[in-house]
Amino acid sequence: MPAPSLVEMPALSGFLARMAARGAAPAVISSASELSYADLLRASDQWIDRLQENGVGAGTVCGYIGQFSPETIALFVALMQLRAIAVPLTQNAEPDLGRFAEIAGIERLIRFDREGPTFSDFGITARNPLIEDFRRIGHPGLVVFTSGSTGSPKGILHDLERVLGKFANERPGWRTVLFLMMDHFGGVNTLLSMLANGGVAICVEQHSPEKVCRAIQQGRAELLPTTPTFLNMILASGAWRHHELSSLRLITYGTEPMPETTLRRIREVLPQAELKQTYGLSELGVLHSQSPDPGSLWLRIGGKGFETRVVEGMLHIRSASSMVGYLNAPNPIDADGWMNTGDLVEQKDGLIRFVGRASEVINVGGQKVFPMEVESVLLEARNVTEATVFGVRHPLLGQAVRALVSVAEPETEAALAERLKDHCRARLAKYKVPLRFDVAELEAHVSERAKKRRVGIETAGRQEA
Amino acid sequence: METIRDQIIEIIRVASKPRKPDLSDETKSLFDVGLDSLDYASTIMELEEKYNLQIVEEDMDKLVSLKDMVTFVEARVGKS
Repeated sequence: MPAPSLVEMPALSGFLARMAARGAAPAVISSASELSYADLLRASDQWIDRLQENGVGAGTVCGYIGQFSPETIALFVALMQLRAIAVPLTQNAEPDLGRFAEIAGIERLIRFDREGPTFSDFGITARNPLIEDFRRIGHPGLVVFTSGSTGSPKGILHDLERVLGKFANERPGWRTVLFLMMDHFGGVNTLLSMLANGGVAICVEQHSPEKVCRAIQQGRAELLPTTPTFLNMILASGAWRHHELSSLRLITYGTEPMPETTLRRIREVLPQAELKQTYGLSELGVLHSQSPDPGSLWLRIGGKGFETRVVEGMLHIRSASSMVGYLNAPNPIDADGWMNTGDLVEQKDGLIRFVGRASEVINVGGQKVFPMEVESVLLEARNVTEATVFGVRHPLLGQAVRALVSVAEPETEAALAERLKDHCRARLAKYKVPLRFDVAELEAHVSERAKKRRVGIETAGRQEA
Repeated sequence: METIRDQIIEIIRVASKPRKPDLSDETKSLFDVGLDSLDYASTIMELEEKYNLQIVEEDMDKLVSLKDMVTFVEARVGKS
């Protein structure tokens, strides 16, 4: 079946027309170069030629390994124009590349390294039935991966024409730091939103507090889509002190619950920036959110194409831009289009507040402990810069609460543990007080936190923009 | 020099705060001097970490007094 023309894809054609109309306005900034929208479309046209020379066309599953840069962004736009199926990956994927390639059926792979991009033929012809059906539609596709409860990656296929439909109505364009990764749905969503609305994409070389703060300063960034953990790293590292961050007008955060302590501290440090909680899932897309009070964690979520409901304390969502499906797992969306997100919420006056993942609740002798509540208390303690609370199996209690903390100034572990126990005992019910405290350097802590959270996720990796 | 007994008394003291249990070799059960299941679980977890031990459910039946714990730990790590 011939691929549909752009006329049959109003969302993609509208998106490209809006990009073309921006002309000489800046589109992408990196430490090495700056591209206007016209430059970006020219670079994309060059990619189209190169891709076609290498056998990439409509329906080809094309992986690429790198990070957000002017080149990878131009490649992504080219793949959409060719109606190929893009599989963006980062260096972190290298050890499991074979598995990712098999799940997605990657036929061509492009690696970006110091010498520039290189093509390789993977020799796999995608035979996944979902991809075969999708090819018949002829729309551009996107595959992202999420880790399931078993640790095995799940491939998620999106129809980019459907995803782009969300950006049909023009909104203000922001100078935006591309903080969320290229291989996450949240990262792709940020990029598409930014390009659709005439914003400027600011690429970062590394995700350290120093490098990101420098990118904000140099690119005069207005929007930073990030995570509570990274905001805490910015606070703990002191990177905010020696960079000019006054251009920031909006910080969006998601992917995990925000401790109230972190929210309060970041508002003190960056008072000019509005803080906005976002919510989305790789499977369903990113919802609009609105909070009546910027200092509150209560919010209303939804927006065009999204419906929400709460069933037994858990948030369910129905989305018009939901994924085509998992490539290697049963579909979690029911016959009526609803998906149980696995996120526990409280409700009040039509607003909701996230309290954690159902799978992360710790059951201590039949009593429930929400990690975020304990983490927030720990972050109020003197000298504590990061806290992760988790459950461990325990023969007597079923599960026991443990905590991993990072500190600004060194303390002996025994004295720290006693002090933190006292701190928690004064503020929490006894069964919520961690039985043991481990101490880790901040960077190791962040990596350990990601692992613990990933294990707890049953349905999907949540990525927001 | 701090003995294993001293160290275990300190572990129980921190785990059972703000109670101040009267700990002696004559005490038959730590639960009799005010420890609850959370204090006890915390004590066991600290013993495991401090002495690099694995304490299973069956061991706990034999670890109800200070004396039991001292004997158990000394048997595995040697007296100090």
